[in-house]
Amino acid sequence: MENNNNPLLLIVDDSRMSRMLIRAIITDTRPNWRIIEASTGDESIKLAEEHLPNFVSMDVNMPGISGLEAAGRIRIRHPEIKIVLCTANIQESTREAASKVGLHFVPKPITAATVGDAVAFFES
Amino acid sequence: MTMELECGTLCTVIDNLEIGVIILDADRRVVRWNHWLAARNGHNAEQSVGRLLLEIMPEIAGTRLAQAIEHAIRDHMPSLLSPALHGTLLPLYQNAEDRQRNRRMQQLIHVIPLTDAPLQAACLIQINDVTATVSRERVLRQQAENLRRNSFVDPLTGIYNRRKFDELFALEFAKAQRQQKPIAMITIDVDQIGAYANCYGNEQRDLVLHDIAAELKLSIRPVGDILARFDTEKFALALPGVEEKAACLFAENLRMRISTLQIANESVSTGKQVTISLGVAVMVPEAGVDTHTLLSSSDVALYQAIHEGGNSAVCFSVEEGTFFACG
Amino acid sequence: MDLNELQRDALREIFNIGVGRAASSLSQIVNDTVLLSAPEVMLVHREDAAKVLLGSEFPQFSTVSQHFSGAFDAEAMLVFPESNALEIVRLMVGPHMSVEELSEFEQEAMCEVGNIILNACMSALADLFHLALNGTLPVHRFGDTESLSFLSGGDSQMVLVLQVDMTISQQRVQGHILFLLSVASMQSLLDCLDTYLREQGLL
Repeated sequence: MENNNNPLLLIVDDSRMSRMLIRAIITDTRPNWRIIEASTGDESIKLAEEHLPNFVSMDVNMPGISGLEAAGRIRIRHPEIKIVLCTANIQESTREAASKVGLHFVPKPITAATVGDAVAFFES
Repeated sequence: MTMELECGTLCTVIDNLEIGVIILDADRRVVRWNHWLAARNGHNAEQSVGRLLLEIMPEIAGTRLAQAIEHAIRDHMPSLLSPALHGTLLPLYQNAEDRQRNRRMQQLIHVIPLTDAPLQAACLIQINDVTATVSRERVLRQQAENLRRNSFVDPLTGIYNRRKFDELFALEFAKAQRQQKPIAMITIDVDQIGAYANCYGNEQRDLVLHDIAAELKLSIRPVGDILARFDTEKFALALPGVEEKAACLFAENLRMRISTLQIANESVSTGKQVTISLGVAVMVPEAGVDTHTLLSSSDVALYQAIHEGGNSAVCFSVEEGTFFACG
Repeated sequence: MDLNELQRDALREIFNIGVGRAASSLSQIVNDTVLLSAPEVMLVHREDAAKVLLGSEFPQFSTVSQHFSGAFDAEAMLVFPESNALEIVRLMVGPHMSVEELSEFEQEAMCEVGNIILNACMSALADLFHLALNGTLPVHRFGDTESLSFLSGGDSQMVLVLQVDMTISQQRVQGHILFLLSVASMQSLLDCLDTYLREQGLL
């Protein structure tokens, strides 16, 4: 049985490669973190409800509801969850929308540096 | 020796080109700044060579040109900056007067990656003056706009012609379909206009049609309603968002307004004045239904009104398939 | 030759990074939000690429093409049905116009839009794979399906087809990006991709 006191990260991305990349870098740098994954916004809301993760890494452009919307819905019910938007949508308007609702913004591509940035936000 | 000579010749050629040329090295410093550019920018080659482009023209910081330069030097990707999207990006003027009035030339800019060791060139910026093309473009566009205006307005009455009506009506119809809101259609025929023309002549007939169109135009809402002349004596009027009851009242009102114009018509036996007949049909268009259904329904109502002797407004209930008088 | 699931997913993700950057540049130009995404990537033989495009109901196309060379050679082409291209230019430049009136002025604007998108896609590949690619300046053409004749050559070539969704001034416009590569070039691209995935510990 895993230690339930260890931080739980929910990775939300429709790209398997992106989920794998984030998971690989996190496993490397924060081996004690537990990780769950969702590939759509709807699924992420369900998983957040069931597992109450500490942190969420959220893609924006996905089939179905957008990551911004999913992040908003998770935040309304669980404001304590820290959410990072990890997206190729680097437009100023997306950044603004993110910061308005208290989300941290990390631009893709996913690298050790960008994941490090997200981790720093999670642990701040 | 040969290399030097070639370089010298090349530089002379670059200086004498009838386009603007800036060559940058990998540090974004100016290697070459040709005469054309100096004459139009004010900075000569001596003042520019060796300096950072951003120092000479600080205003390009953060623009697409700055991005394109980065793209060329870092990624070896060329860029095109079109006058339509950037126009007067660089401070370049055709002459002193334009400079005083701050009237920049219209520019087409190409940013091209270079790999040239002897000149240490990393990026070529090429600028074409397209001011003449752009202003000619504006003139042509204005002319096209005038032509278009003339091609959708009926010259006699100044209201839309059939073609424009069809175009606008299709848009309003689709909107009604999307929003599931009613749209009313009224077709209007001037009663016995043939007999009138025989009696008073075609010129007088045209005057009457002109006056009727003017009266109709006065009674519609300026935004949304579409009024057009279909053929000699037939007009059409589309009223988005108007329900059957209101459309009938409106049609009856129009009939009365035209009869109060009291235009004499000795050619008809009854009333002795010019009157109109109107056909009304209203629908909330379901998916798949096209404009033709509504148009032909109001036509059917119009024929019924004419059939009943004219000077009347008849509505065809699309749902029930029955006629009733609007008044 | 086909893409496995991970390769397809990776290419889609990389091209989305590219078009995301392009959207950011375009939004700066028009001072409004521009959304670009590439929801679908597929690899097809040249003769099938025409079907993908011609399957659409649009007989007339607007194309912007650039040639890229380096670790692999590719003819890149942004293809919009003509009416969609007009819509984009209209939304970016303003006034309404018909195809006949679409002048050099707007063609250059369309050329620039294509240039921004294609450069961004190729740069995203070059960045992640750490390679140098050189590009030519963009060329814009209007025409019917025959102007896409490069899709019907005899020798066996592969086409990487990206579906592109563009939203500008809240209007959604769809098109495609095509990368035409020789079999050898396509293999080089996939080798680069596999190397990248291996470096990331995903293979």
